[in-house]
Amino acid sequence: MVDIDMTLDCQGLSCPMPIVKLNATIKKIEVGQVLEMIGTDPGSKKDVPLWCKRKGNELLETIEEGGIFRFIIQRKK
Amino acid sequence: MSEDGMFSEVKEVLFGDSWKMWVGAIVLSFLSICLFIIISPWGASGGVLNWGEQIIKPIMNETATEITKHRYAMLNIMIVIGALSSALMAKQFAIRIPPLGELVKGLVGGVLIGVGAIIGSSCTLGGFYSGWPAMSFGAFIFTLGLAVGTFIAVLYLMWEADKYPGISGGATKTFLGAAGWQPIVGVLVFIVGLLMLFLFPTTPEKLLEGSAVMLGFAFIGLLIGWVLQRSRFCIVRALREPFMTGETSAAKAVMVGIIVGLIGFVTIKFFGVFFPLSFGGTGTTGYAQSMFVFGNVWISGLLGGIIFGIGMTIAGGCVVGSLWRSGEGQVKLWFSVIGMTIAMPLTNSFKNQFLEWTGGQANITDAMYLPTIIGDFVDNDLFLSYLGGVLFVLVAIAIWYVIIKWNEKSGKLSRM
Repeated sequence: MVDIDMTLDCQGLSCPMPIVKLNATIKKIEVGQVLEMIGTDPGSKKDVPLWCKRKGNELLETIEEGGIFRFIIQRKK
Repeated sequence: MSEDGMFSEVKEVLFGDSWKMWVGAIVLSFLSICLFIIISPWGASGGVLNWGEQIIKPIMNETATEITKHRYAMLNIMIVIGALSSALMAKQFAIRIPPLGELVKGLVGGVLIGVGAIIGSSCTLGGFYSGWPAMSFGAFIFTLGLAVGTFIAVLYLMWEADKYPGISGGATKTFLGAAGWQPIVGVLVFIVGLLMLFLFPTTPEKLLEGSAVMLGFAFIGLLIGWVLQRSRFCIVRALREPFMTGETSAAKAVMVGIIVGLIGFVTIKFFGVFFPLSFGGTGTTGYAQSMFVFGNVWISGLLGGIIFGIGMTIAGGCVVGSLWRSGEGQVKLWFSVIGMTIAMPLTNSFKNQFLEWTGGQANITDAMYLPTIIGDFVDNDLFLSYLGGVLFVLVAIAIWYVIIKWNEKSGKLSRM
């Protein structure tokens, strides 16, 4: 299990707010640090990996449990 | 594949992960063509206007058309039921209550959608997804407005998340998420949707009142809602992503859908002329030909499109996008639906003043039909007129494609 440097809670939010907030929040951690995002929008399941790919950040892990998604993302750039 | 896997693929299609959006687009365009075969293509804002009139008209001592007699009002209800069924079947249903700031954005976005839809005589369907295949010139103007509005709203959302993260932060609640009982209830909801078709008996007298059309719209609406949620079909996303991440898959899905729709719509509109009793006229001015050709050219389409575009991006869904996400349990989109339901009839009562101000263009329809416009240049040869119309749509799609693919690489338009 990786160490998490910051957590972003996007529960209850719908598209596109999780991605907009993720994009704003990732700037608050250093390159190499890890951000955990928690959300409930089923759209995030596709959106977060695509965003990571586009921005060159690494999606370390996706955990889905009881309708809640947890994305573990490492800032690479 | 395991032994019990005989139906595992069917199970995956019906209950599993979301479909690719382009798969949904093809199915939705097919269903829209079916609606057009019944009478008129897929649209959404007219139905929401009717919902709003149920509240507003009695106050002004007028009577609104009953929902069960308004085909688009009924279609919209069935879309919500279909989406609810689909979300439950895939265990994606949950009542998701966002922070207060998001509920306000849902309401404000919905109001802007309502105002823009009336001013521009369209939504993302009539003014885009159905409007392009219908070869309506105004749809291209409206879509241009949508793109401008979307861009403005993307800038706003990013600024907001940066400067005022509190608006989309704070207390949230989610209930009923991913419970094990959901899939079976989803199937039951679908069956309830099917049972609602009995609202429209097709005895000879009822047929004369148009019950068969209502039956058809109700049934196809249920399927549309189901497919929308299943494929997370989103026109906002198609227009928004190039301005955000630069990602193009949603835009390409919409393009595929428009091309499928174009084949069907053109077939109906062109060959429709050979049924003189039903369609008559010159081949460009009959009933089928005028379908989904609105007078939303220039000021009306552009201004309506911009207002609508800002609204849908802030709300996180256009008219249908708000409807299907409401069925999925996204409370923000409930507020969007409330906003547009109230704003549409109110704006509509000022529409005539607006038309006067803009030169009353929204009443002219035939002249806004691409084959009619092109006919002037080709001696009104019917085939050449239609060929010109089709080429116009395909060129517009090609330009859109080139822009988003160039942006995907260069990121020049992307704000993220």
